[in-house]
Amino acid sequence: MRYVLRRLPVLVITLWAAVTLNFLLPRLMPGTPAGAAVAKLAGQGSVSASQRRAIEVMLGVPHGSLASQYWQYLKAIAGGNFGISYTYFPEPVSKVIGAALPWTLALVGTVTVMAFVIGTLLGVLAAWKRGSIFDTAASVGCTFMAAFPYFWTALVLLYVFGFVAGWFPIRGGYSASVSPGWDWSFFVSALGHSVLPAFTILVSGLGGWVLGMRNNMMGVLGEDYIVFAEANGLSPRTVALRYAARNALLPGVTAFGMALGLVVGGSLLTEVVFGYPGIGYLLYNAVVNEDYPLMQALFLVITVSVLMANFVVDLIYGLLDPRVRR
Amino acid sequence: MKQKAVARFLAGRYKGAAAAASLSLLAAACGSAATPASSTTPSKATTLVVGVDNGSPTLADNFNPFSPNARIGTTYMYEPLQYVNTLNGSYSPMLATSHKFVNATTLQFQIRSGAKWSDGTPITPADVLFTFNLLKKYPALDGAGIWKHVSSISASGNTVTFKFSSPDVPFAQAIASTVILPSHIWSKIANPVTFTNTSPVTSGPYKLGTFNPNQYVLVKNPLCWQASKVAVQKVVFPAMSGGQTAQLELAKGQFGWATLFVPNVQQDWVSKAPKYNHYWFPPGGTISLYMNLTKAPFNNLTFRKALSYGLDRSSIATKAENGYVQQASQSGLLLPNLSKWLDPSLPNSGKITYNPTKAKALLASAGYRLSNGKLLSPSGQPVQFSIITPNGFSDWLQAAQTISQELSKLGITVTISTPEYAGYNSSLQNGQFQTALGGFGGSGSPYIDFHGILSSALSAPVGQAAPSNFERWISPSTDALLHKVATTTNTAQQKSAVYQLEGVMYHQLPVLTLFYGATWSEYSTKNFVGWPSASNPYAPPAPYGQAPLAIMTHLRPAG
Repeated sequence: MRYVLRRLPVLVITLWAAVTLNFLLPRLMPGTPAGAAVAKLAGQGSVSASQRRAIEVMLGVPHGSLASQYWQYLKAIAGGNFGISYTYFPEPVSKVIGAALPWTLALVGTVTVMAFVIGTLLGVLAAWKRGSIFDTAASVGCTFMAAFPYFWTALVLLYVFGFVAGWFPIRGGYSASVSPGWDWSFFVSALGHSVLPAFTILVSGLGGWVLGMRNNMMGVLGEDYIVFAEANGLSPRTVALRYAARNALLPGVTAFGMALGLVVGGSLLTEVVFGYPGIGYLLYNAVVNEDYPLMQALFLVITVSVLMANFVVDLIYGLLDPRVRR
Repeated sequence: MKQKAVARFLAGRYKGAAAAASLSLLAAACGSAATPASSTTPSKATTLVVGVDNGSPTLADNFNPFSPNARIGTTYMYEPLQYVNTLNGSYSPMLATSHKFVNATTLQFQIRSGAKWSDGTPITPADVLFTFNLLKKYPALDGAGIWKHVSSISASGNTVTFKFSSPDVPFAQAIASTVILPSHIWSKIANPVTFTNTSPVTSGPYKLGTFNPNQYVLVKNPLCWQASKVAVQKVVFPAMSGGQTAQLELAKGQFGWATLFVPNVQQDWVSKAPKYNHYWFPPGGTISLYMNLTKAPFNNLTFRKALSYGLDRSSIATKAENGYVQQASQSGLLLPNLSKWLDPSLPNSGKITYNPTKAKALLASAGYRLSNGKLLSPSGQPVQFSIITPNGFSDWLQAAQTISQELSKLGITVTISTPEYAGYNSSLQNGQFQTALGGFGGSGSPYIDFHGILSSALSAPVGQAAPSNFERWISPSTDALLHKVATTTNTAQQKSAVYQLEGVMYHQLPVLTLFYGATWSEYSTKNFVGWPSASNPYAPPAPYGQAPLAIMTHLRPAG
């Protein structure tokens, strides 16, 4: 409990810093948020004075001193009110994010967990059978895959399996003939649309977990207590999983926590390539369209998720490794 | 990816204009010239799939014609008073059959009688009054600035009369382009600014069939007054995504009509079905080099002339836009669209021929000299300046790089900076730049095009935001010419003043026009024919803005 209490103030301070940075950054960019909104909404041609006024009136462009804006901002986010998106006007930002979040959580979340589990197991196996053909293949293959730019993988998959072969749809989260809802045809359509993006993320993410786990295992396998365990006649399986893997897993858990936090950020390039209706694409649009309310809310959601994930990992760490509790 | 910038630039403009009302139009020929569709025999496909609405990545349900984020299909459903062809400024009848100026401050529209909304309610002058009064009540809807020009509006019988606060004949275009709303629906809407109008009651050729976030379908509105001319029964708008995916979909033949920049349209589109697949990329705006005229050396006409001769516009156009567009005329007119306004005395249609020798001679005559290959000003300073162009506009960047290379041959050092659009825009407006790439024109009216870049009323001192005269051309004689065009309804007088404005552009060089930004349009004649083309330019071929109202009433089944 004392351990938890000790971590809390750190969390609160980081949270405040993140929230404040989030407020300041858009205001430090060239041009005003109002100007960006006006430019975006009036199209990118010349903006007549009357269009500008019309748009400023429409959006309720922020006025007042920085301090009062900051106070308004804090009050608004405390109430979960992120304002109205410029890009998706008149939709409120919270609704826009709410619509995209399930897609990203389902796709990127599932794939991240899969990549972690499969990658870690493969890593354990590779380290345990070090020097074998399997180890060589896994190490080389993973280095190769991890070094690939994943948007390139996405483009190749899209071209080969989507365009040339025509096995999978080339864009979107579901086909135009179905409507989102809890029915079978929608589920099948969504699943079909998620295959290529999921495979892209899996391929690009797997390598890191395999290599990381393998290297950690190698370090642990050289420890005296492993030799001692083997000398005591424990079965290789027990030594590998209960003694070596458990210890080697610790850095992996930290990374996994971070990865889970980042799930909320979506997989930007994959989503953009496949036109997938998730947070990554939303973030891309927010930036491209200089949609400050949406950008701020997205960054906030992502920061908070990463911070919370880290906090939870810290707590789990305490359970996994008694040393950190002191 | 190149060129996409201009596509986006122009698309954005037209979209904004759709909400705000843009201008121009073709002769009365438009509405009536169309062969009535033989809709009795729906033989082949009667559906048109249009690749235009960007999903980003899914579509938001918004069909409010005055919302800047309305779905593009909205413009297929609501008619303005008259359709203005932005290629040449001609008008064709929509909900109004004609307009006339009683005098330079009194404009009358004859409202069509017998037309009905899609729910069967008659369309009356009361709807017209309601719509304009709504814009007055909610300035956020009045993107065209109607109520800055209009002082009152009244109806008598089928005649609706607009009184202007000061003479402004060309402003008729903005009024004619304003779409009319059904008062029996919209008078009950608490906040028309944020209203998303998800069940639109329409006046135009289409009404909403089905909507889902990945695609929506418009179906023919049988009650539209021109329903007999509408051959396409269903228009499908799939959610588009940017870049390569859209090009693959185009290559796969998934669209009957699209507006995409493709690097090699012959190979990626035409060759897939040479018999049916066509494209037409008419100019939709003039991309120009804006020079800050408040600063040296750009305040010196001889220097501007030297720059003008030192730019190989034809090469800039080819390199920046893959050879799809032409060098622009320095007359400031969008050619060939507005050729009927072109002063015949301008040599070579106002296109300036690259002549570096002449450029060097002009520089020397103004006291500039070369030293170690660098141009020095009369006071001995090296001549160098920057061009700003928005980040991501790769075609403009290419143009800027070509300009930089060409001017280096004169000994001028040109640097390029690419701020984000918001930063670029604010530098431009506040006059905090040396030179910048920008676009103007495309309204279909030479007055509106010239007014935007040359009127001192649209300029501002450096440090304050100018609405559109970014180069800060302040000239009482130019203002007088603009005033002359605005206050006369006599075509001959308008023409003489427009010729003189072209002379200002050609001889005084307030901005250096470079090349025309294209309107991208790929279409298939497999199921439908009657598309606008260079030989029959009844509308720009754009599937956005108000052009679809003209195009969808011209298309007829193939074969």
